[in-house]
Amino acid sequence: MSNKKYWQSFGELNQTENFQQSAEKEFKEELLPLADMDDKGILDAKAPRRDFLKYLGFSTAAATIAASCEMPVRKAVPYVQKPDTLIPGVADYYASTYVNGGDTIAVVVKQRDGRPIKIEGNELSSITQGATNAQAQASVLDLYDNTRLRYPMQKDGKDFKEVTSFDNFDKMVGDAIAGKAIVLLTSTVNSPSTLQIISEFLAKYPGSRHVEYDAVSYSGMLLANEATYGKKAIPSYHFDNAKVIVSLGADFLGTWLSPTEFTKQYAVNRKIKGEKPEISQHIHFESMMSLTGSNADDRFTHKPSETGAIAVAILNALNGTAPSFADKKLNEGVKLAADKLKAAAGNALVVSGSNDVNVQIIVNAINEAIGANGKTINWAITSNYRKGIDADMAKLVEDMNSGAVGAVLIHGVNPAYSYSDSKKFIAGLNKAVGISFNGTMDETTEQCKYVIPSHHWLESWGDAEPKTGYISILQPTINPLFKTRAFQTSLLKWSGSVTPDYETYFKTYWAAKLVSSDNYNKALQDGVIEPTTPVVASGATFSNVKVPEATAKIAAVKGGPIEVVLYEKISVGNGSQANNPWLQELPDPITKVTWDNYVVMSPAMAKVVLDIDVQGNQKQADAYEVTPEKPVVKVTAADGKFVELPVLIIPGIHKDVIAIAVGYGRGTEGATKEKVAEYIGRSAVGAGKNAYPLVSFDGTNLYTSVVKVEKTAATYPLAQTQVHGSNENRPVIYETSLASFIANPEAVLEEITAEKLAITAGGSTDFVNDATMYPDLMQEKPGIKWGMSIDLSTCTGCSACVVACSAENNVSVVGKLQVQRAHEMHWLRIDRYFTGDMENPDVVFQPMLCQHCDNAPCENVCPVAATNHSSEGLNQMTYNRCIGTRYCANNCPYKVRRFNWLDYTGADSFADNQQPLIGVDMDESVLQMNDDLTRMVLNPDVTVRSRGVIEKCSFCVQRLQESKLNAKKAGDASLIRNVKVACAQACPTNAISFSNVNDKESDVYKIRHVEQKHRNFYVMEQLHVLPNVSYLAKIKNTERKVAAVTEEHHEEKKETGKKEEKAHA
Amino acid sequence: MSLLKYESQLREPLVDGDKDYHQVTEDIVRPIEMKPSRLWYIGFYISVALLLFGVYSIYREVTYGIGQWNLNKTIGWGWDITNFVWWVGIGHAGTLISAILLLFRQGWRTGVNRAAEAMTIFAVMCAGQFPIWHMGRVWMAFFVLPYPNSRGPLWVNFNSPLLWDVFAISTYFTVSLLFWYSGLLPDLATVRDRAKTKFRKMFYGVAAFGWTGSTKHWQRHESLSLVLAGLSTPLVLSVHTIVSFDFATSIVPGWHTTIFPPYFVAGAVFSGFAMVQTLMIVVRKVLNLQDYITLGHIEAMNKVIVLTGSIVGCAYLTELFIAWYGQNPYEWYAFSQNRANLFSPYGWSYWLMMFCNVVSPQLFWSRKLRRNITVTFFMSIIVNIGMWFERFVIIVTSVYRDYLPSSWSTYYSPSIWEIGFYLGTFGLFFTCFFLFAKYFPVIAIAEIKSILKTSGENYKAKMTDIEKEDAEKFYVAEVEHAH
Amino acid sequence: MAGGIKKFVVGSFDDEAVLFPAVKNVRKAGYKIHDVFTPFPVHGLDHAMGLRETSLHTAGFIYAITGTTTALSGISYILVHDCH
Repeated sequence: MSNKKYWQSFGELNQTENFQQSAEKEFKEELLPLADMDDKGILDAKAPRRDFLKYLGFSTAAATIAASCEMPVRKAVPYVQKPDTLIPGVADYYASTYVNGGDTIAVVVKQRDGRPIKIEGNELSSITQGATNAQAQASVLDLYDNTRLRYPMQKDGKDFKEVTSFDNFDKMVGDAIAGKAIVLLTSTVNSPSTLQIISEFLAKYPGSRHVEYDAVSYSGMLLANEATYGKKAIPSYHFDNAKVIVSLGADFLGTWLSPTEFTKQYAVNRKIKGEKPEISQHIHFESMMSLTGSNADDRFTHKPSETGAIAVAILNALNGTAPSFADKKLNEGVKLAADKLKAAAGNALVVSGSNDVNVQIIVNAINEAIGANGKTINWAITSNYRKGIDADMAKLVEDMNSGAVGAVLIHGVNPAYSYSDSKKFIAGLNKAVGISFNGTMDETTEQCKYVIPSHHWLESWGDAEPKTGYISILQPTINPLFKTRAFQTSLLKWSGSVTPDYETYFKTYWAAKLVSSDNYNKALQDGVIEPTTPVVASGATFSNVKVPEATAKIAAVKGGPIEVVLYEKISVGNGSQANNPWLQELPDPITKVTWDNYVVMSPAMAKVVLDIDVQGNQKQADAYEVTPEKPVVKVTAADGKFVELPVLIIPGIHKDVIAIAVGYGRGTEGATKEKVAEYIGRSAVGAGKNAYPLVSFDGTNLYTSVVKVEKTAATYPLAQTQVHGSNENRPVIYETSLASFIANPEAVLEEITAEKLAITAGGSTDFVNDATMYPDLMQEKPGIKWGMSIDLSTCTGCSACVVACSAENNVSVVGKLQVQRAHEMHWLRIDRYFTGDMENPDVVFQPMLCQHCDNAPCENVCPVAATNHSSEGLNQMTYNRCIGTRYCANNCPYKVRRFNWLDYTGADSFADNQQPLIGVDMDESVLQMNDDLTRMVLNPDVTVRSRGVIEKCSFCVQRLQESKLNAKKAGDASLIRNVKVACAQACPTNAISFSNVNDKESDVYKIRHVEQKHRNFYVMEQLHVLPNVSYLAKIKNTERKVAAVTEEHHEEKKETGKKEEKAHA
Repeated sequence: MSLLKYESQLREPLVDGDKDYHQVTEDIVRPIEMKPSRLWYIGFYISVALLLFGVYSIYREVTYGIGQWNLNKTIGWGWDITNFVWWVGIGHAGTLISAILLLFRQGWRTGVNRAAEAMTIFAVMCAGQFPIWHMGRVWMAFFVLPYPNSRGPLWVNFNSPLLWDVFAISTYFTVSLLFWYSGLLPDLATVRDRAKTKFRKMFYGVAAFGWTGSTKHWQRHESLSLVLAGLSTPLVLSVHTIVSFDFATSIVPGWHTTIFPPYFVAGAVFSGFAMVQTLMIVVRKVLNLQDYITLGHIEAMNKVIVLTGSIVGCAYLTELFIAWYGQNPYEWYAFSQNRANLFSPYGWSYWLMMFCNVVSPQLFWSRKLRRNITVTFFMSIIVNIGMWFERFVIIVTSVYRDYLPSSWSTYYSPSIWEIGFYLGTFGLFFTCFFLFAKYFPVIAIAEIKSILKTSGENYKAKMTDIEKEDAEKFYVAEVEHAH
Repeated sequence: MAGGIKKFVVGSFDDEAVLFPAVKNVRKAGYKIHDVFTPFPVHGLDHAMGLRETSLHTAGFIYAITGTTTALSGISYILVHDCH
């Protein structure tokens, strides 16, 4: 790609207003002045009398014309010279590494015709073992983000102007920073070569320093480790070695530290194996319901201010002192945790999400007391995910404001948005020379004088060392799309290095380390460099000097009547990916809300604050459930800062606590919508409010203060994809406790079995063959028969599969307005059900997708046979044949069929069908997904669906076909045994298995008929639609009674058929 | 034959006023030959305006997508199919009157059959709009026709009730149209013969197909009427039966109900008669035809309304009972929670339906109310509101909370374009009806003449004093007298 | 037919009660009634005139059978023979 910008006229060069207007209208024809009628309504529109017949003719004949019009011919230009390695239509795969701040995941990038289109996990990495998360899956879309900066710029008044060459830029910056005290402000850097470049750079500029800043800080933990272990670092955790896991608010499966790695480890001990399975026990203390908390076996809620007290109580309980909380349940929890931790004899782990150094000191003391140090906590390998210290950042802000800092070089962080006192940061930054390497015009970059965007990770060379000794390599999978330059190259240039660029530096660096070029090539091919022999786990010397002081400080903590928890969502995280439509439209696993943040509130508090009783008053509950408009509250922090957000009432949060997600509300304060859309992006505009200002700094730690919550008169519509939280005792999900499962494995599915016996002829349990009027048709299904099995026990709800499915299958993004109207297009969704105690419920996540029923109710109602069954058991959808009656969607008991209500893809038969609806029915994010750049992410193997047709999960039929071809070419039929569909491949816990079930050696066959036959069920099997997706009942390792279908329900059913108590969310 | 045509002298006359044959022609053809009244113009323009709004609503929906409506992933059908079933239902009365009542030799049908048949045709035209325009890709609508094609053996799916609809509705429309038009021929000839202008002569001349009134014509006309009546009679039952299959053959709880076919037919007759009442009460007033559409007619139709209303009520209760008795938890939930629970989001619509369709028609047990024009008019509107809600209840309250609780829907209310489409069909209906009332004889002149002797008022003058009292009281005497 | 001159008698009646006996008598007198025009169907007049019963019923029956057979064989061909 050329770095030159060509212009055709002076108008284009100068970007005059006239030119821009004419450019926009270049191909537009004034076909119908009817567009005017859209806004003003039919009465006010001026329709010339003469045109009346035209309108009439057009409107009545529009359909006919559309059917008969010839579509414009679009030519695809082939390669003039085809690259040798490239076979058109066949994908290439390159190992690389997803890096975002300190987050590091080894990945394999799928590339089609030179375009990266899909991210998969790299199975060679011993850390993530092929796992990915939603953010990594979605990051390929960030590459094609239209708001990415396209060339180096310098500030020009309020705006920026292009700097025409890198040489000019280097000269300007060189002059600007010469002789000044420089601060390099970055996110956590775990790249060894980059760190070396930084140290070389800092050496060149005396008095300069490097500050690492994390939007969500782990400072308390780092300082506590320094205080107790003498190391300002974070050890490796081994959840796979832990039989008992106690978490004090650490969302380690969702957002805490390295969730992908921990999820993989966690799943090892959660798989049900054999007749007498052993699984870990997970006890969770938290204030709001996090993804991890929802997976816990036992969960206890408390106020955030009580976290330290609970830690102390657990530590004391280990020594035999009984806890004395006012809340009896908390006492039970502490006792349970202490008992279990003690009994595990070192095979236990306690983690805390608190950023309070004192709490972390106590947590370290507990881990020491239970013998976790050296067993589940490994100091032999420290992890490098987060290194920022709050005090360093606070000092930097002070220094900047006092004028002690001459220049600030910013890379990968956005404190103008995410820092608690962002105003002060901005004021300071304006006193220094700000230079930003950030890829987009974020809030911080906007304040800088010079901008030189760095590459996206998919365009970069690089390395990462997520854990000491474990290297992960980045290699570019596409030529840089824009005139960007690696951040490291700039540092090299500015430090006067002889090495011309980072690529050369990187090669020299690793060539030297790896000795031979073969090793170097292998490292690139593998993507990871790991120790040949595994590092033996070891502990660190623990010092309890600080424990009494920490205990005393914790005892002095005072809570307020209402406290707030700020948390990260698994989707937009800390906000750096806020302009990613896939992530914005990814429903939060607990609240199922997309595109917004909100105040999470318990039903008990809602009754007081909002006067809405969702548990006692069915009418109010229903009204709250069925209207997207939610009441808005004003949340005020102790220092007077406030935020107004809609309320989402949901069980599982402590009754005196509210929770708000950070990462939303992007854009400089006071900026117009248009400006935010231009700078931050069209998907970030209007998505929630910024909650970072609610954070305060106490000198050592960032913390969230006590708040006031008041109801306002306003309402705000939330785009929620699931509004009802109870399974209504329907045979949709099954769960039981480990003890009852071991006692009687068959009891978990007793209800299904009883029903089968009752319904089938002669009391058979063979539902497929014996509950039909046409037994002959059910018998023979030769050849391949695709089937899927989903383990509810190991599905954590992490939603990586949902994004993977969207990426693989070109699933449309529909925007907030359309999700509010329940028009989302996800082929795979994760249903969330609350069961049991409605103050602190159990949660079951159920990935729900087309069940590919063998007796599909959708198939026989389609008047044109657009949906039909393949001989391999696939329920196929023929988009070309579909006329859009939606009868199939009505008749689908699983409601997995999705209709293209509007033109979401820009692939409509009628031209420009999106622009007139923007702001009325559609969000700009839809346009964002349809611009030429973003469309480069589309998978060419999957049709882009047009308006008016139904679509749904195809079991990734393009992958199935590919695997069959590969098997044919290799002459080995077993190659198709366990083909990987996108969701199964993305799943970090292997909860989803997919294979040819006619093959007795296949995973799914074994799960269904051998290994997990006691847990195997089909959703609503009684309907006899014969689904090809089976589920495994959830097992919880708890002494409580857990059951999705309650026993009371059975009795009730027998008695009167009375209405059950319902849970509303 | 003549015995079957016997009309008791105790019955009240079907034609009031001292009419002779010529007077009948004069009365009925007068509106066609006069300039339309102010009222006609107002009504016509309002109808055309509604029609245009409907056309624009459809234009929006076709151009931008079904997303212009407020349907969603759970509620795939809403106002569109509700309106479809409602209009089809209304379209039942005409054929019932013209076919079944013809076969049963109900003399009173002659006063209303022409208008009722026209209403049927217009209602079916309106109904047909919905399944067509509710398609996501209406420009591919021809896919529903089983035509041989070059795409391999690609045929329509004969298992789909939607396909049955295609054939049922198109057959019904064709037969109804033929029936109506063949009945019009003699009257068009009458108008032609009286025409003064060249244009009218030509127009009605072509339209009358050269009708002369020859005995041969009459013989074939009568035979054709009987054949078409024989064809239409099963159609009256089959069309709404097949429409009900759209729901009954599905697996959606609340739709999957075997009682639907008879219950839909009764409901259709119920709403159809209500619509005939609405129209007739207006027409007799505006066109000054009180002598031909008498209180006797209105009362007869009210009797049908109370009968079919009660059948419908009985069906509602049966349905509810079976949902409980069948112990299918999903179906029982749909009935007990989605519908009968007044406090659930759509509970109000179920009880509104119950009130309009079951409770309110019971008023018609009173003869006084049956013969009260105002009460009848309001009741006819209430019944059609009720019947609209019946379809809404069936469609929306079934799907909005069906099998999987995770997919239970938010509240569905129509968008302006959904409402616009519905109003547009009112526009189409009334535009057609106004044109019909202006350019065609709204009462079958020839048929009225054929019953004038037996049922006209001047022939009833012979009634004795006792006989002039309550006619019904003498029903037994009448039967004896007849034999 | 002598001289090729046809002679017609035209009668006008204002009541079917008068028309019926007239038709009967005219026929009895051996005249051939060419046609009777009425503004509404007069039942039995066709018999009185000695007109043949129309075959419309038979024709209708044959059409119906043809239609049904075509439809059923079409559906059966499509569903059974021309499907894979």
